[in-house]
Amino acid sequence: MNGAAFDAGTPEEAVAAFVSAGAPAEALVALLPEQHPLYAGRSANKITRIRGFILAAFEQQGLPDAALPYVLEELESGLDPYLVAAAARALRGRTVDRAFVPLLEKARQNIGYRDAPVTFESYKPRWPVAHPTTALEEIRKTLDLAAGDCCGLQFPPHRAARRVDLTIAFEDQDGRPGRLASFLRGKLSVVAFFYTRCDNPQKCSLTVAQLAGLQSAVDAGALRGQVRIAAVTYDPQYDLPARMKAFGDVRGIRFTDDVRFLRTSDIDALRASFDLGVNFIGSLVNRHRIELYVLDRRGRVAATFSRMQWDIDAVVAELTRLHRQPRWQAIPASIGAVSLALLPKCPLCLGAYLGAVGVNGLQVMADRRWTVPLMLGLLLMNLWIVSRPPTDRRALALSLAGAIALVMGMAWELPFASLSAGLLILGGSVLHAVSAGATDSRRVFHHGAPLPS
Amino acid sequence: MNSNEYREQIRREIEGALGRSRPGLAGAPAASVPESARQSLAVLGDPAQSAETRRAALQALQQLSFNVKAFAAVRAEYIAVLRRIVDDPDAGLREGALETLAQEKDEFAQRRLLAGLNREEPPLVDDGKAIQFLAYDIHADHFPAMRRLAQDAPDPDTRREAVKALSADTDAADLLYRIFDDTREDEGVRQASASALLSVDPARFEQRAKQAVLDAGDADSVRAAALTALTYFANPAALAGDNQFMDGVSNVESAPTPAAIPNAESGGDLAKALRLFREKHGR
Repeated sequence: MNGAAFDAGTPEEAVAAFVSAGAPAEALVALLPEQHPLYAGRSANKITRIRGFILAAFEQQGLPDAALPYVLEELESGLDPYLVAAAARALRGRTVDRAFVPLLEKARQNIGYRDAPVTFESYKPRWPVAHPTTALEEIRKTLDLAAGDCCGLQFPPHRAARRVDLTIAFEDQDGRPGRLASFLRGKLSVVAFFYTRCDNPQKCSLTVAQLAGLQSAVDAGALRGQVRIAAVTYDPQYDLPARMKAFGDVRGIRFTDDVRFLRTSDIDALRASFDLGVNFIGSLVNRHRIELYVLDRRGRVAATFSRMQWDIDAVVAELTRLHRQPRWQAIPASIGAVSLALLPKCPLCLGAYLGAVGVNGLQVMADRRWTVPLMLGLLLMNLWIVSRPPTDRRALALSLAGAIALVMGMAWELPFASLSAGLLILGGSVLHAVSAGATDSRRVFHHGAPLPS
Repeated sequence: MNSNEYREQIRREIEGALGRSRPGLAGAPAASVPESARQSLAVLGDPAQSAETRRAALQALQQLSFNVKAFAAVRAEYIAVLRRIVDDPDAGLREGALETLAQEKDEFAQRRLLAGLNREEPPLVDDGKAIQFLAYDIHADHFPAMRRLAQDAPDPDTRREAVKALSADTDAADLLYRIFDDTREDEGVRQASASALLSVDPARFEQRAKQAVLDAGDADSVRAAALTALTYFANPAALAGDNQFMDGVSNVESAPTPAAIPNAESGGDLAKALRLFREKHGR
């Protein structure tokens, strides 16, 4: 069977047979992301069995670089003896660099009081088995092979910028509704994921405790007041506001308008938008990675910390980098708005032009809490002016269409909406000005001499 | 050595290993925990020993395992022996081993328990116990079996245990409402469904619980469960503002329903629930 065809309906024994038959390492790596269809609707136990069997196979097949994060993640945060043993074994599929020693030591500490007999000689074994091993035994064997220079690995964030869907609605820990756009735009943001029923204290519980530390670090430095922190649950059906609040409270989170825990009924959209490393059986999480995203002021992902435990200082450094960057980035986006603002035309239309063409620039430059209402106010004023007699219906229609396009573009982040809206509003204003000019000419004429009947 | 002598020896060893100072007993450093544990493991894993002696050894090991740090050295051996005796002819040993393994969220034990519940192989323990053991871990893949058993198990005790286990299954809310609303269902099962609904769907259940409390035709035990749920988990301010419900509760209190009839045990539950409600919510 071809591993590429594996999905939710593939029997786990078929996956095991594929692995046992000597599947190449690249094909095995492709099966490891949590969001792979193979894991959809499967129990956590089945996923543990499958992933452990795959990881252990790297010892024979060789451990490629692409598989390394999955192995190191398990050594750092894993608490299941089977998976940790498999990860320790997998590491022997390449030269065991001494740089891995701290993570192997961490694994030894994690599993010390949780160890159990495991075997990779058969899949889904019935105990007793002839030659069991244990996670500690596998860690010891791998440590014995460690060579080279010591120590320490760096796990820098992934810095590919990308948009996420900010139209998703949420409810926070106090039951207040909102949309991601309203919370995640206008300031830098940190978005981490968790669920209160997570049974691995090295993952969700630690993530939230770390967020509390991040909150303190931000408040103590130059970023104070510049950063929003959101912890979003993977398990919104169970994680009701009170449960989220209690989970955050006991881990030191101080909830404010800028620090909130969120749940959404549209978890599928959220998962697709962030490409979350999580899978489910029904609504229950069956496997997830550690993941934290740093968003810029426009609500775009700027950096991703995933799989390995993140460091507060590293996240603060990433925020600081972004904090210094946007002023330069804002200038090109603001030029259009400022240029149009300087056009010697109807002064009351300036807000509309600013809103239509420069809304992206404005939201970077300032807090959307006041720029958006201001812009909407000016838009309405523009519509009111255009609708005043003498009314040119074409001008009114263009301005109205522009206003609608602008609002829709903002709400749903439609590409080119701002530009289209700007052109429509500009067209409406020009028509209105021409029409008003012609009327004024007639008025002048009327005042000077009787109109022809 | 008979089982009583063995039990006494084990007790001394445990107390010594745990370093308790007790008159007449010499304390031993925690380092002796692995040694004591290995002796007990040898007895536990030896089918030639009597079941009673082996059960005493299991009990000793369970106590020694509380010393997590010292016990770590023998933990893997302990788990291996427990996995071996889940098929032991002695029901008490099987149950003890499975309970310990289930508490450790052991995949093998969970797999065997589930296979028994699904009748893919002979059950190792009775269904109610198997459900309780599986319910230690929400990731044990047992919810499909629990949903089936909550509806179809012929024994109400099994149905009740299954419903309790579903208190962690947010996808089971509709099923739990059907059970709660089914007046032909066993009262204990319906009470369990009230508790489960409080966990999986508290906001919606609040409204349903109010209806149940005011339904004089419903079983008093179910009304009591619903009222208790409201007492402890409803929003006090919202409850105080619901005059229709609060007046209804006052009427329940004064009405000559079966709750006031001395021979109705469940009526006692309702009376107690009313008293608690009044203490907390002032009516």
